[in-house]
Amino acid sequence: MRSHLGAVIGDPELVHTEITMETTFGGDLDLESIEFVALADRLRTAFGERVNFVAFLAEKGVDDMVTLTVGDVVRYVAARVREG
Amino acid sequence: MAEILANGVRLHVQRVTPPSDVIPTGQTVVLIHGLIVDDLSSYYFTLANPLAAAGHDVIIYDLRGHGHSERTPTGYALRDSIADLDGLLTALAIDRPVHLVGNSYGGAVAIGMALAHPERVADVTMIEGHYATRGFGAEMAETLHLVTTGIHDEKWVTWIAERGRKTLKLARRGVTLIEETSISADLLATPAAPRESVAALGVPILGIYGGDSEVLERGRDLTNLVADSHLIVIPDCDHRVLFNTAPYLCEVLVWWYAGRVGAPPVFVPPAVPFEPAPLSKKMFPAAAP
Repeated sequence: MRSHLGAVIGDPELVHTEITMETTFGGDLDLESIEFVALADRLRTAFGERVNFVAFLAEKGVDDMVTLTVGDVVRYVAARVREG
Repeated sequence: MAEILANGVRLHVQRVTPPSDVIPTGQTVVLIHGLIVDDLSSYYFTLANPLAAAGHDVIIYDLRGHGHSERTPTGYALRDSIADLDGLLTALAIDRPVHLVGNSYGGAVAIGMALAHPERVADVTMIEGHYATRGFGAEMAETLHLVTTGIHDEKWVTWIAERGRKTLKLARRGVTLIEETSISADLLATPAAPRESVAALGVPILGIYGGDSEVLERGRDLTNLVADSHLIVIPDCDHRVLFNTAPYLCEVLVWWYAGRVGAPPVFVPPAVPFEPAPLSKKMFPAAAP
């Protein structure tokens, strides 16, 4: 996940940021909407159509994505990959 | 992330295709975003995925200088935006007419594209869309001036800061686009599209505008001018029609693209009033030049 985040945000900005499962995209990483799009695109490329970020956000009812954590996304991706 | 060279400029493009369990309609929809504090993400999280889920091949891209597309020092005239879109369709090898959707300034690009390359356009949907009427360039330049003034205006800075650091970052990046490129001068010099050419447009126009919007009159004018057109007015909504009514817009577009069978979907007003647009003249009237 760190490498995907590094690619969308730009590694220099992540050097001093510790990324844990509790790290929030909106608060801690200050991820912009356009960076969310790039992250969604990378996850779909890496894991296939089953990883649908937009559907995931809709299911969670997350509007502003501020409270979404790295752990939320990791658990979602892991579950979809397990389901096959 | 796909980076595509179009008209000599590197454009950030996302193509959202129908899921494998949906029968494709074979129709392509290209969504064009607005100016300065806007990029393709406005569509990604609103219309792009639902339209793909309805079977459409959806293309969203960052306009030159916006989002993750190349920020060239010059080349921000409306004709450049049209040439960029034409180059993008060529680069993507799309040779069938596409449905264009333009939000705000994106509407001017869509109408300009339909005028310049009618063979490439199936129809145009204007979401609070501008088009190159007389005075359009001055109006765009004034809006850009509001942004550069607003970034130093305590009221506006407080308003956007309340919405998070990233909103402020987006606004500041918008200001550098205005201050470091020729965009203001390029837009100011936009020639008006001849009314007789617009009236003779051979493509259907769907206009969706806010009842409280400063742009509504433009939508009325356009849909009066073009014979095959349809205007929908969202009551008590201003320029933020895309953000405020995205699910409804999806319903309307699916109805429109399926051949406009029956009456258009009816808009159901929300229980809570819409939030005002951040750059409306009502918000900081003193900042106008």
